[in-house]
Amino acid sequence: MTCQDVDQQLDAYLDGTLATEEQATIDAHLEQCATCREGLDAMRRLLAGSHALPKAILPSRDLWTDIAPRLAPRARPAAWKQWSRSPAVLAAAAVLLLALGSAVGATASRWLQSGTDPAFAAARARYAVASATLAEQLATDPSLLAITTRSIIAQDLGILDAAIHEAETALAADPRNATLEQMLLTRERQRIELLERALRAGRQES
Amino acid sequence: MNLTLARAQQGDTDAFRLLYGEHVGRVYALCLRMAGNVGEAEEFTQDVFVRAWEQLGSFRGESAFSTWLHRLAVNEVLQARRSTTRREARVLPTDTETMAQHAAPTAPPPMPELEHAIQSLPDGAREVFVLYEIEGYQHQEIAAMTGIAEGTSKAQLHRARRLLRARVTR
Repeated sequence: MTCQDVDQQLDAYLDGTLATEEQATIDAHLEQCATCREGLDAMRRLLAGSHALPKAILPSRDLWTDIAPRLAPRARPAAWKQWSRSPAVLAAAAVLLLALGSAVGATASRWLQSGTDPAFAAARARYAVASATLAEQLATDPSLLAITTRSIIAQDLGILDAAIHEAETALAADPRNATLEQMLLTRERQRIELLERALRAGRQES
Repeated sequence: MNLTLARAQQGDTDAFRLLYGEHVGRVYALCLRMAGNVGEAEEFTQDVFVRAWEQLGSFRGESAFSTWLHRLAVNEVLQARRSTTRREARVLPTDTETMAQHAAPTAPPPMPELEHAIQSLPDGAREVFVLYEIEGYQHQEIAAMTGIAEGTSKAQLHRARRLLRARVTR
């Protein structure tokens, strides 16, 4: 095998796509030939350097100022507003309100019966009221958000409610555990933040 | 699918701006390396996000949004680079405004030697090298995206690697 043969097969050798026999032949040549070894090492360094290049590079100026004027308003379905007020959607909103309301109600009744310390109970009471108020605002105005967004919010709320329930169950088994209380309050705060974000988004949209 | 994406799909440009902020670095890096110069890279990046906005409604979430956007960016850049009209228009500015823009380009940021060497590769070799070595596409995928034969993709990679080795180790 000549140095030229090695060079011809170097890509396949580096990419590991050569047959075992061919690879062994090249290995044997490399053992004897310092020039080819040097070439191979240089290529390996080059490829390692290429793979280490940053995947993201920020442009030196903000391109958004040129992009924004080119974004054609995406026509929301003309019938959207009308559709969002249709009896079917109003019914869906009512169902969402009931679901949110019952979740808050169930949560409130559970902690009221739990006999926890007053500061923790007061915090939860504030969160429960805030959560219920926001949920009501969100659910009673079906024009605020499209049904897809609404469904995503409902999914996220479901996840948070499951986490809240999990923390409550753990707290019932280990009452007055400060870490669990903190976790519970954090998740309830997240629930309120989610509802606030959804409401803000809906108001911007409408 | 997250809330920001859902809102952008409904036509919310503020939400789309958040997506832009999250992904512009990756898109610009691709455009810069594929184009080989800052001016075209900025132009391609803008085109990619405008096209993404136009096609956002067709994104159904079968893949990650970043994957969808990246593939769209590759296609947009390849298509733009093959547009003769566009290339001629860039080479031959027709009005004073365009000429002024060409006369006062934004100074490119400092780049390491390897980035410079990649930018100096011939178009075909550079495109295949960037897609294969940096973006991680296989020859079969590159052939499908660029419209060249798989063997040509391998030959371009071979050429790019040797040119780069010669330039970087000189």
